[in-house]
Amino acid sequence: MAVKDSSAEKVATISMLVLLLLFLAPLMLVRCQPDSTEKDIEIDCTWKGAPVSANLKWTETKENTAATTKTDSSGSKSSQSGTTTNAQAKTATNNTQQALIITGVAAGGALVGAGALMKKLEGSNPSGQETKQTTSTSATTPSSQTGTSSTSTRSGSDVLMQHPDELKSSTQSQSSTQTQQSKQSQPNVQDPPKGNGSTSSLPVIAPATAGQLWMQQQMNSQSSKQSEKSSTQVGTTQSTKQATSSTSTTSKNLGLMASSPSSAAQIANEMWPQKQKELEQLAKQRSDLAATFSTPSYSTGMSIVSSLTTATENTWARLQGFSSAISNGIDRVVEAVKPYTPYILMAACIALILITSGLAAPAEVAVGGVGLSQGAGLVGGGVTVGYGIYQLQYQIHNLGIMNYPKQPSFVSKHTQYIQQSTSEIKNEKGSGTYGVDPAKEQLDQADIRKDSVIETGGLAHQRAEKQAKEWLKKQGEKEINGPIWHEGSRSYYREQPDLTSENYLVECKTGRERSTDEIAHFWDQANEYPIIAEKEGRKLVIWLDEVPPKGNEDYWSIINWLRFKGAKVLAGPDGENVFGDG
Amino acid sequence: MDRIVSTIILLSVTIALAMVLSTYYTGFVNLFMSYEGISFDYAYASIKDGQAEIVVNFKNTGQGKLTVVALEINGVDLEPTGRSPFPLELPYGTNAKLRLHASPDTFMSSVTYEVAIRTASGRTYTKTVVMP
Repeated sequence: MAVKDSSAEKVATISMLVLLLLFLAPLMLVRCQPDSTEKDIEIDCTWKGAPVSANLKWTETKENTAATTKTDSSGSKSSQSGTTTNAQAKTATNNTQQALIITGVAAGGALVGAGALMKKLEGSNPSGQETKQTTSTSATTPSSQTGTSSTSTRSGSDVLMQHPDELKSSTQSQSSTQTQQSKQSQPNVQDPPKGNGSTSSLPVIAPATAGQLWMQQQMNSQSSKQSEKSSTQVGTTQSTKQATSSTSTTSKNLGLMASSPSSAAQIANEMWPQKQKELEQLAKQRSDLAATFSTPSYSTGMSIVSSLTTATENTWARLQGFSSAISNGIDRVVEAVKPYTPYILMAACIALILITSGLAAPAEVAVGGVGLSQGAGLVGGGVTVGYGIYQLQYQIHNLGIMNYPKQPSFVSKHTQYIQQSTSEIKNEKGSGTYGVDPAKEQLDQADIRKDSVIETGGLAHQRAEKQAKEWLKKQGEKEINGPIWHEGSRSYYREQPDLTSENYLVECKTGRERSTDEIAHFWDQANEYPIIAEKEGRKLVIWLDEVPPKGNEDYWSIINWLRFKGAKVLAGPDGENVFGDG
Repeated sequence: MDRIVSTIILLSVTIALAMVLSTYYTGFVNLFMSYEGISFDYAYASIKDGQAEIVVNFKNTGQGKLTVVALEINGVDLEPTGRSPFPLELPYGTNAKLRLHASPDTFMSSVTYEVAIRTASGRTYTKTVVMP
């Protein structure tokens, strides 16, 4: 079976729903329009004492006939051909009622069926897997009992216990036994002992549930002291096929059996036949109850019966296998049909509308001014739209029109992460949208704010200025000013070089400018300052606190441009000309 | 893709609701604001086989049913001899044909006859024919 894209499938479904709603329903309404009838009324009257015969003829639809025409029962000369009689009106009313009933039943049945199907497809059968487990265990391990079978048997009991009303009808001993069984973590005990721990041909599940419990109770009353050593021996003798680890665990849990294995076996031999009959009856009751619930429960009940009833073991095994096959078949059908659920339900809706409108089409009267066929069409359209909304409630949910927050999808989360990462690369760290941990975001923002102050005019920039001043002094400059106004500055930021001396214009940079704004700002200065320097006859110097990284290509482009324009680019702390002269 | 699907669904629901609501409120408007109207397609008078006939073809052009309560000729009611068929309700858009038969002595030649249709709203719609 090919795996289809769910979105495309939903689009196809919705397209069909829209087609159904917008096109098919109106077509059905047109098709359901009642036939027209011709009315012809003869009126014998007088005019100024002279007889005049008037005839009025018109055409009207059937749905108006019953409401607009009158019945002439007086035997007078006036008559209306085509007039609906009382009997005909009554018949029409009956038709309406029948059509309404059929429509309601059909709609209800379709809704119930669709709901049941949806419930089935949504996995309302949690016990199915447990049933399979029980079946497979009891079928494949007739004599080697492990913990798995015990678990599966208890799951079968749990299935039965999901229906307390039915269980109330069972015997008190049954319920008490079952309760005890479910409360205690029962290890698995092999068949009731025959002689000194000889293995039995009885099935394995039954003692693990009821027989084991009974034996434990009997032996508990007999034994007062327990010994782990002897219990291990008992466990070993009771089941020769049992695994060592399983035996050890079983023996530890069943320390009650430890003290006198021979006496326990003797007691069991004496009382087991009687208890076996009781257990058989108990199993039959359980299977009857389970059969009334569901197939998985039924199969579970049969598995219990199969394990308890030695005489009919083969028959029950066959039935058990048959029920298991049915259960597996149902599961396979469900799995196979599941991808086509929207189409099936849509076809059901279409069939519902067609059937109801077809049934209602002969209706001859209007209900509340609206033809019955129209009502059926509207109901069908409503059901269709409602089903579409049900199918796409998650999408509508995510559209944000309901009163709960929009849930981010995996894609949006992933995209957000990529955007955040990209933003952090382009801009400063922490400038992206976190959206997950506001506290962490606040801390990061505070940290970045602190760094940004240092980098954009703080310590790094001041250090660069200080180094540049020292370098200027070394060059013999005596008057070193800060940012002063230079005629002809057309800088967008209206800024001036950081230092101005007799022969130099110095712009200080940290060398770590990366953001778009910072690069744009630097480009603006790189275009402006060479002009000013040339105009004033000064040498332009770009002083960097540190050499920018090689990967910052934008920065290096600016540096190359400045060198091309004749600027000197120096790097701190001593003004090393690592870039070469311009 | 999800948004597209959701949009389609919402549009469908919106269209359906719009259709229902428009019908509902239009019904209110029609209920309180409906008007009555008759348009005469044609009318003629003739004499055949010794019988005078006046034929008036009209259409209910109003927004609702047309309730005819009486017929008049030259301001005089036609009085039914038996049980009165009035009022007669003509549905919206109905084309109707009224035929009046009488002897030539009643509908005399060369006389103008004004056929009037009186409705329940009190209005009278007239059409004039001349008997040949």
